[in-house]
Amino acid sequence: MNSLELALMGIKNLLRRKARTILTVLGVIIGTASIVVMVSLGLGMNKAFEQQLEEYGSLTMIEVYNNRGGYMVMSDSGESSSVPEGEVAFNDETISTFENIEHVEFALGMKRFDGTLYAGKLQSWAGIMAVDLEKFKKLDIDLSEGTMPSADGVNEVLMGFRVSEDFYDPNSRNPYSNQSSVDVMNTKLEVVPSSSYYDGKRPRGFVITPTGLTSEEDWDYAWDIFIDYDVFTKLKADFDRRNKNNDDDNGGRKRSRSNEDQDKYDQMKISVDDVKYVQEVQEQVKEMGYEAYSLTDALENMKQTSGLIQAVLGGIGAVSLFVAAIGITNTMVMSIYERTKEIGVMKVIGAELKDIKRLFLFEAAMIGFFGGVFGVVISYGISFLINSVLSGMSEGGGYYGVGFLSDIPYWLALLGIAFSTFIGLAAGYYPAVRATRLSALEAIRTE
Amino acid sequence: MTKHSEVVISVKGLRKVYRIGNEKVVALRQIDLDIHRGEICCILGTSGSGKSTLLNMMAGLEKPSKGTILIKSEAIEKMSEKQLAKFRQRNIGFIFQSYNLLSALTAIENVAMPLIFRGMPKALREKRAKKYLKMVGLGDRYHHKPTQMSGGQQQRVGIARAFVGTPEIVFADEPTGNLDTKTSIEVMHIMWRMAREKDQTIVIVTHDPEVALYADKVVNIRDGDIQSVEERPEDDVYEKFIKPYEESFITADDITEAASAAL
Repeated sequence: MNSLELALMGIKNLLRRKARTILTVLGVIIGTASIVVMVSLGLGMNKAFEQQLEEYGSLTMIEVYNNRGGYMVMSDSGESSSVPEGEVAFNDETISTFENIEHVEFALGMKRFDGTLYAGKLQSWAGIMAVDLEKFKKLDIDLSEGTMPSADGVNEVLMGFRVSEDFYDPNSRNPYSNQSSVDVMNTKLEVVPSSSYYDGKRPRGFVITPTGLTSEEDWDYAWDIFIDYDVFTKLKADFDRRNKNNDDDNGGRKRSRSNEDQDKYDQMKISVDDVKYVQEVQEQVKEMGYEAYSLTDALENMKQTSGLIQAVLGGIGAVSLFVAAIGITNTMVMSIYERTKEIGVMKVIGAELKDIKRLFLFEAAMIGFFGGVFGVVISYGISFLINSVLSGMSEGGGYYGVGFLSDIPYWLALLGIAFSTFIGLAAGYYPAVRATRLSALEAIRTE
Repeated sequence: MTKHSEVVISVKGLRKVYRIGNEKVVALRQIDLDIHRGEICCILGTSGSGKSTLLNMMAGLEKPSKGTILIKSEAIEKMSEKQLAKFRQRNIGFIFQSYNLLSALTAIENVAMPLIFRGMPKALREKRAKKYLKMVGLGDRYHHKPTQMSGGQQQRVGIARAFVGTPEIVFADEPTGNLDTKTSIEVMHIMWRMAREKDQTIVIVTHDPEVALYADKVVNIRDGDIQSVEERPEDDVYEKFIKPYEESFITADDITEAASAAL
């Protein structure tokens, strides 16, 4: 018996018992829809989280720190010249080592200095990040105004947007409670590359030229002033020479040449060409003895959590599909009782056992398949409803971005249909075997 | 029909014992029987004589307790369910007392059913089904469902279904059991004609001596044993029973005409 004939016969049989077929299919629809919707919620959660993370910073970026606990200890203690054995360097060589790792686009070294920013009467603490501006440009930082600084201009810097907001007047009665912002782009700014507090007369620093302000969307670069590494070290050296007697920077100057090389940077960023290699690269960097972090850590965590949530939700859905599967089995068993005679006659007039078996399996699979198809269609409806209702609710609280609460990618839809068809087949197996075992003689005796 | 043609069914030392609880019920004691090609053989007996058991075993629906059944020299009691199904598909047609048509299907679909299992293409199948329906005189009932037909008509569909695959052997279990006398005669005529057409063997089980009149060989069975076997001369049945009634039913011409038209 060929498959097409079999399919036609099976469909005819299903249509003959419309009410029961529809009810059974309905069970499968509910089962499939609940699984698909539940899983879609998990997927939506992932997607929303990814979007959220992208606002925090790039997912392809790895932050690397030196394992030693940072340069602060070293410069403050003054006895840092002895680098503990087995520790690793953090200099240009390190950068080229990182850049040789597969999938790494570039590595950027950064060093943070404390400084004070003066704008007329006002002043503010400021972190000064010395970076290689050429590479820094590649980070694709969003600017709200201006352009990226370059090493060629006169002390050109990029201002983090938060820097402008923490100025205070040291001469006012209550300096710290009255913070005011300064239009950093259009004010003359002077930097003293030292965190010491100067009572009264302060040393002369140097004037900087802000060329751009970071976007308020990007919190990664919000707090600091970014300046070219070489430009800054020169300025700092000048400053230190002019203020020889200030003891606060002694530690720094005492550092041996070689040690300075070892610790040229205190932080690095590694840009990876694709998110999927971030963890791999990160592992390699860690093996070299560095501390490395990336947003994918959080993403991995989140994915694990949402995987768990998905499994739980999917499990709840699976229960209803399981019930539906029992429904299919029940329907098919009932169908055997009803069709005992028919099956017997078919056997006597020439049906082979495999024909009977295939017929029943096909009917069960069809119930599963149609249940799956309609279930997926309904899932899309529910998903749309959830998204439109809930994202409408969270309007205004837009920090979490688009309301991706439920997401049904096409593979989930296909998987849902395939799975329910499979469930149908599995549920139909026992009845099918039972139908083939049916004694033809008993069957035709049934009057 | 030639009297000494080959033996199609050979039953040797057949015994069937049913076990009901702790009791043994002997349905067939010791049956030896040969049925030749083209023979119309009637197994006649009262209810409980074991005649139906014999038929079921010859059709491979039941396994004997002892003995062997050779159909076309193949021992069918040794076949598996799977092999039996295949064997039935190729060699055996079956006519039931209660017709056993599939109620959801039309006459033509019912007749074509055995051909579906053989994998015959639809067009060919329907052409053949139509031909056989015509042969049983139901040329105007192609698309009727069983419920729209009388018992006699339904049994004629059943006959067409049994013969449509041109099996060598057709088993008929009380084919007239649910029919009145007139219709019974009609049905017997048709079966007789159909079998003769392609020299097919028919084994009929019945308790009705009237039906036995149409047989070339009548096997009387009683309490699980063959009591007697009557054989009739070759054209006896035709001369006595077919010819006189020919005019009132379907004529031989009808059958040949229908057959040639369909070919």
